[in-house]
Amino acid sequence: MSRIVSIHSFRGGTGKSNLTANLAATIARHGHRVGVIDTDIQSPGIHVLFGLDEEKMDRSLNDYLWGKCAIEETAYDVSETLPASLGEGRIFLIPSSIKAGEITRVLREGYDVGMLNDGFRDLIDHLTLDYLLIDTHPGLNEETLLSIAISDALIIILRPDQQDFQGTAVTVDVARRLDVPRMMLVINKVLSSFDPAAVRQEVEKSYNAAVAGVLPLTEDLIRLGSREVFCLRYPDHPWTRQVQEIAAQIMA
Amino acid sequence: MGIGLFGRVEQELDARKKTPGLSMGQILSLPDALRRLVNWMVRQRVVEAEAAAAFTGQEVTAVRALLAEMIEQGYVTEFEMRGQMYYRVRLAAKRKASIPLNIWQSLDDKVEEE
Repeated sequence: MSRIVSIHSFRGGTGKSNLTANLAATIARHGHRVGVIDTDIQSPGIHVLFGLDEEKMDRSLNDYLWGKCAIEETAYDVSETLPASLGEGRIFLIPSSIKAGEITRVLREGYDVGMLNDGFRDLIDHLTLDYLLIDTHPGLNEETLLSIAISDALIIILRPDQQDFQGTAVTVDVARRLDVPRMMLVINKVLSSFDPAAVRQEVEKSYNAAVAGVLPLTEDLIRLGSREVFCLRYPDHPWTRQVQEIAAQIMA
Repeated sequence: MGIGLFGRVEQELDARKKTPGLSMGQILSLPDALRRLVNWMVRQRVVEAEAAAAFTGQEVTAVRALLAEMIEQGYVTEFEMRGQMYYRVRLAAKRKASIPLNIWQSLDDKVEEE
């Protein structure tokens, strides 16, 4: 049975795309077929982490939404371009267009949101996916709400920051109104001087929701600068181990 | 002379009222029982009235009446396949931005017109 997992944050800069890419790689290394779809149409970027060259990106989610092709035709198998083998697992990336004209066209002309819902299911069927991870646009808009509504699990990523705390409260409330079966919080960029257990406890108490992981602020991750999937480059790093724990909870 | 910035905003608001289908924002503001049904239908994509009745715990006739009302409002579409009726939520399209993206250029054009 395949599962749809949305990874969302209320504000930008939380590390959402980075976490999505690393979760995808970690889950794929367990032998699963994982789809990653970039629904952040206004500000796409996750393709960078998978080393997908914009010049070679001849089809994107935008083309599907404009009825130019089937959604599975916009999927790129990026499994072989990664810094470490995925074994039997595969990752299929569905990028959004990075061309300015195509981004503004979506804003200018709109699109049929229902097609996204159909597209998610078609991807799962055609690519025989075990997991579909949706990298959402920060904040709340139509496609993000739809992604949350049709997900089997929602991961909300936040930083220990008052603005994130307030925004996350809104997202948690919305997710509950959309009857999401499973919701998990991930706290990212936690300073080493903080006690992770105390941070986890405080957040769980505040939102009455489970915290799947507390990820430390890591200079190694910043230094990598989204050029690669961190967990594959640094498989024994403490940050990687935390991501593995979060992935295990998704797969449970 | 063009309709001006405020005219465009009025057009946009008018278009929102006329847009067929349910926006996700509208779904959030539905009464609890109806919202749960619509959420479930969006997740299922296509449903039969009998399955919707089982989900809600209501009689099939009552659910059919509710679905007929939603079809009337443009929120649900129905289709027949092999003698069986199926229903799906009609999600509103993401609207066109009727206000030009290059708002500063628009304002410049407006100033030149006047």
